Amino acid sequence: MTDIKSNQFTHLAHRALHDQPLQTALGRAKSGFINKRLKAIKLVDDFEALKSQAQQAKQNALANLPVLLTRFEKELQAQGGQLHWAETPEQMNQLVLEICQKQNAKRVIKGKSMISEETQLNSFLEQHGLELVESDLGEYIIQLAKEPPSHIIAPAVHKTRQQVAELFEQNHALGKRDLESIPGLVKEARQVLRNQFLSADVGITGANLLVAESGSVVLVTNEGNGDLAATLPSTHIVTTSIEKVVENLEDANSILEVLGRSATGQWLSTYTSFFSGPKKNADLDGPKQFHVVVLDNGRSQLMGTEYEPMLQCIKCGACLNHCPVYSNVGGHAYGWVYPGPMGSVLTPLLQGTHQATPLPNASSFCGRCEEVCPMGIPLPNLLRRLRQQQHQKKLESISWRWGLDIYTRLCSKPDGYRKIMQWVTRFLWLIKPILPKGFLLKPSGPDTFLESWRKANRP
Amino acid sequence: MNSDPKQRILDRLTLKSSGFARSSVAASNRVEIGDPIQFANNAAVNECRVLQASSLDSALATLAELALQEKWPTPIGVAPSLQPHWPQTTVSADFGSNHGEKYTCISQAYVGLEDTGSLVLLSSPQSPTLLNFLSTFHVVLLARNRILKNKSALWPLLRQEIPHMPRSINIITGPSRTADIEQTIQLGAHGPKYLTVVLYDDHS
Repeated sequence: MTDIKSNQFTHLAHRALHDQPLQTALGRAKSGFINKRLKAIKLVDDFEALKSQAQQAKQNALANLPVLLTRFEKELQAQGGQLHWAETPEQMNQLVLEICQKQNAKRVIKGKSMISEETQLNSFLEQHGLELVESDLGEYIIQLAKEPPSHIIAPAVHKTRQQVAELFEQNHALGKRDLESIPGLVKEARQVLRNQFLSADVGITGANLLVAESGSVVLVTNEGNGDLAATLPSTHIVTTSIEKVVENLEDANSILEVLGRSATGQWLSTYTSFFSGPKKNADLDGPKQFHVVVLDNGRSQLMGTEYEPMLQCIKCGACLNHCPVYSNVGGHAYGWVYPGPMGSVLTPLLQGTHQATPLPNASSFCGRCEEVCPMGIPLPNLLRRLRQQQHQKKLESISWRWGLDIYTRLCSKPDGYRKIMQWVTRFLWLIKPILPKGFLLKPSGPDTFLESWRKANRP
Repeated sequence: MNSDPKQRILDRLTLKSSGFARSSVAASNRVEIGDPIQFANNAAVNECRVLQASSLDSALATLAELALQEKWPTPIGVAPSLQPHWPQTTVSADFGSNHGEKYTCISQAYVGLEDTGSLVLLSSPQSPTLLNFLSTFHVVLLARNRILKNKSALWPLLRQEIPHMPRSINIITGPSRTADIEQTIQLGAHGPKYLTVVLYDDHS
């Protein structure tokens, strides 16, 4: 199972806040995503209508999941492809390994797949002697740095260009060259990875959608690495999860309409590809074998529960980009594969609330995540339910529970609460000289809100 | 207890899924045609270079001239569907094992999509997929009467015209790009850095 450090959130977040290169990188990324998305949705007449179509497509798919998965399998087989089912990460890794071994594969080129991050496929395949290279530039950078992704669509968003240059310097034996500029870095990665593409036996990619009607796998990228990985090697393996299936090509369209706009602010990502089976008879290129492995890993348990809406997530990353917590601490602080608001919900659901107790609390409930979610997932509400659940299971620390208990008692007696808060405030102003600077803020007027309310409403 | 993962997953899902059928969004059979001028504008937004030609032959003649003038990389790999019109160079079947980087690739689009300025290419023996991805210079020919309004018009047309799904349908919206280093957009990540679209009138 994947190492999970989500219970160390407080410690990791604290460290992240004092990590200067990380803060520089996050600062550079922050407004980029937000502005691009805003610009893209302003270009459409009615983005709310597009969202509602996408949500209907997904809700219909979830309501008919077993039927659609069975249909997808049948159509995929008719196209000459094969579907493999994995209940657990271990099963998925084993299935992928067996396919590689059957082909006597030695080298694997990978496109981005969050599901393979979930199962830690890379290290598993490497342990079994396969040579594996990530081809998405961001994924490649973090593979060199031996780090997990810190963002679901921009895995290396936490790295500065200087850090990338250092990694290339250490890992590419290319002599003295200019690595100062971003174009130079991108060009070098292209050259190094092109050789990997041409020599790989197997290409592994993720999937954004599966289409039941046609047995197609939909893959969205901007770099074109997914298409090279899906076309050059003689075997293509798709690692994905059960909730990605939709009924037909029209439903796939509906989701694509909101995906690019929400993720990178593009009306459509550069490459949207529909793969249906292996190379057909007279085709000049394409893989001879086409395998799709679908992972459950606890998702089917969420069906029919209050957490089912989380399965509507299309992994666009908009909630991360708009989260005040994420944009200050970055993705690694969340301690597992999925960060930000969607990760704070998904991690406890897939890994168990006891494994990720701090995550549902890593939110100010500002509600921006729900506002920007194209799939209408009520993220703050789901976080609130998870808080309730862990409180019922008594998972928080004793001091936290006592604190909450005292606070609850205070809050239920307004007059007492006000009295005590007045004393506390007076006391704090008395000891102001020994408090950290900025700890106490001056009220904006002469009275507190309640005092001025009372004065204004006095009969 | 069943030990087959497939059966266990399906059993759990069947137990829990509500199976309601939504008011079906009837797949429309209407193929809405798009505007070539608006298409060209949108393709330019995607950082494509857009050229205009009167016919397929004149389009290819223009390209041959430009290739010389602007010193495009050679050899020039041309999709088999275009080879009768471009006899000089042909693509060998082992195209994929070449670096491709050195080529200029010319392919022919199935249709264009007006609303996003996208090109739709279908894989077939006449239109190999790798032509669209391996080179730094990529040129796509698109007939003006093959521009659709948007993605929704694509599927009804495909169902009418093509009996089976091709191995790959590539919807291409501009040249390859990445923003993985400091959110700075850089063209030519793994696929073409320069994408030229030539619109022509199909007289056939």
